Parts: sequence; structure tokens; C-alpha cells
Amino acid sequence: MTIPLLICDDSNMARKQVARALPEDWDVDITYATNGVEGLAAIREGKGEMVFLDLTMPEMDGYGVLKHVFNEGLNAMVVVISGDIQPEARDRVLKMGAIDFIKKPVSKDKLGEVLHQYGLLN
Amino acid sequence: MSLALPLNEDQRDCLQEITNVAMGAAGESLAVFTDTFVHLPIPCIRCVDSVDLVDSLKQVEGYECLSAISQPFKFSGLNCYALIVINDESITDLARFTGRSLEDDEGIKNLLHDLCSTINNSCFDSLGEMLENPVERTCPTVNSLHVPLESIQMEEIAESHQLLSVEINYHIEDHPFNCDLVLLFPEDTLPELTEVLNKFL
Repeated sequence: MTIPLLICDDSNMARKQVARALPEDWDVDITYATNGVEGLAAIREGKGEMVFLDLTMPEMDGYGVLKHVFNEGLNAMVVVISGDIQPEARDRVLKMGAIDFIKKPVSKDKLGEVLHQYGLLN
Repeated sequence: MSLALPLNEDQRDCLQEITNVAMGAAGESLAVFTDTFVHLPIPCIRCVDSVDLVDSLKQVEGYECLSAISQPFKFSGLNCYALIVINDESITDLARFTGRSLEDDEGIKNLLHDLCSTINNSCFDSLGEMLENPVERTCPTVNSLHVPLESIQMEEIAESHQLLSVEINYHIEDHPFNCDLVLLFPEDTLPELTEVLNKFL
């Protein structure tokens, strides 16, 4: 079954890096968002059952998105992909409901490893 | 005061993302150095005339006494600068976070050098890793101590007419401490910088 996948990052280059790092045979329908407000709207529309989320973004940051996802009980599995590599940032997003944290720049291997770990690949 | 950016949107986005990651690595080192959680904003990219450079440091405006330390660095043959600007109150905070006593300006200079190596080394290492080309660095120099913004000395940095500046203001959560890291690319480096960025696109 095709998975609705949301890539939410204010940087076009970062969005492309994530898209390029996805496993080739993964059946996903990709939506892109350039800030947290757009990303949250897409999740509410069911376009982000799986989400790759940046933290530092204009309008609403990644923490804001996680807070809404949790408070509204939205159906979204969120993996944070960020350049903020402080252990505290990782702890915070995991406490807020993210399933994992990947540091930027994202690699194909690391992304695949996380997806395997959570059984998200066939 | 800001001039038109000599980059197209893709190149600007690329520079912002690369510096965001490098400055994120630097933020982590600052967090370890101060044993705090450092807030990372989005880097601000501008093109400025060197005579307006100091005035363009919006994030540190409004403080009476500022100190600055600069460090030349080189990657892909480009001679660039990293500048750290910090206010006196934040220097006192930094001394407290790191358990130093600041008896005189020598002590402050030593602390500034430690702050500089903490932030810059991580930033340069991360930049070098992403660009697959190590960043060469030379010794930092304390440019100014306890001066108002307009009196900060830029010395050789100001020899270029125009500079591309990437500024990030690190601040600590629920605390007034803040300091500015500014990466400066003189205008003669811009053609090569653009080439470097294009390789990412």
C-alpha cells in the first residue's frame, strides 16, 4: 500500500537530499512542505502518515509541529532530520513523540537503517 | 544597507543549508562548553559593503560594550573570515558557566580564544566534511574589547569592498546570554564560492 510521506524542511536542497536518500523501491506518495505551518496542514489532510521533519524552520518550527501532532492525536510517524545535534534536542523530540532523530546531512544508509529498524520497509 | 545577493535562490538556499548544519555543529560544542541548551536560529545571509559591515550585525545591536575575535580560514582556496561578537554581560555569563575567574583583560582574551576555538573548530570541521575539502585555519585575533558596536575593528576583513555575510545568533534558552558567529566571504571569493555551491545542486 502506498504510504503518504511528507518531507518538511525550509531548504529546497535539504528536501531534495531527503528525497534522494529514500529507498528506491519504497512505495510512497511524497508531499513537500517548506515550513511547519504548511507541514502541519499536510499532516491534517492525511498526507503525512510518515514525516521527515526539520527543526529550525520559519513560521512554525519542528517542535511546534510535534506539539500539534501530539495534542491533536494526528496519525503521523515523525522522524526528525536536523542540524541541531545537541543530545538535548534529540531527547526533546523523542519525548514529544518523534520515533527517531537523524543528523544532517542525511545519508541513504542512515535513513534506510532507521526505516528498517521500525519495520517500515517490506 | 544590504546589497543585492550575488547568488541565485538555489545557491542562497544551498549556502544557508550548509552553514545551518556547520553552525549547528558549532552550537553543539557551545552547549557542551557552557553545559546549557543552545537555541539555533536560521542563519541570516546578506551582502554588505565593508564600511557597513559592523552596522549590519543586527543581532548584537543595543549592547554598550562588545568584544570581537576574528579568525581567517580557507577552503577550496578561498580566504574567508569567522567573526565572533559578544557583549560584556555574556562574557561574564560565559565565565560563570565555565568556572573561570575574569581578573583582567588577559583573562577575558583567554576566554574569548577558548570560545572561538569551541565554536569555530566544530563549524570548520563540519564545513570541511560537507565540502569534502578540509578547512585550513589560522590563529584568531581579538579585534576589540569592551567597545560600542561602531568601534569594533575589522582590520583586514574591511579591505574587501563587499562581503557576503552569514550571521547566526546563538542564545541560551531562558537566559540572556547570546553571541554572534558571522562567516564572511569577501567579494573576490564569490565566483569560487558559487562554483562550490553549484556542485551541491
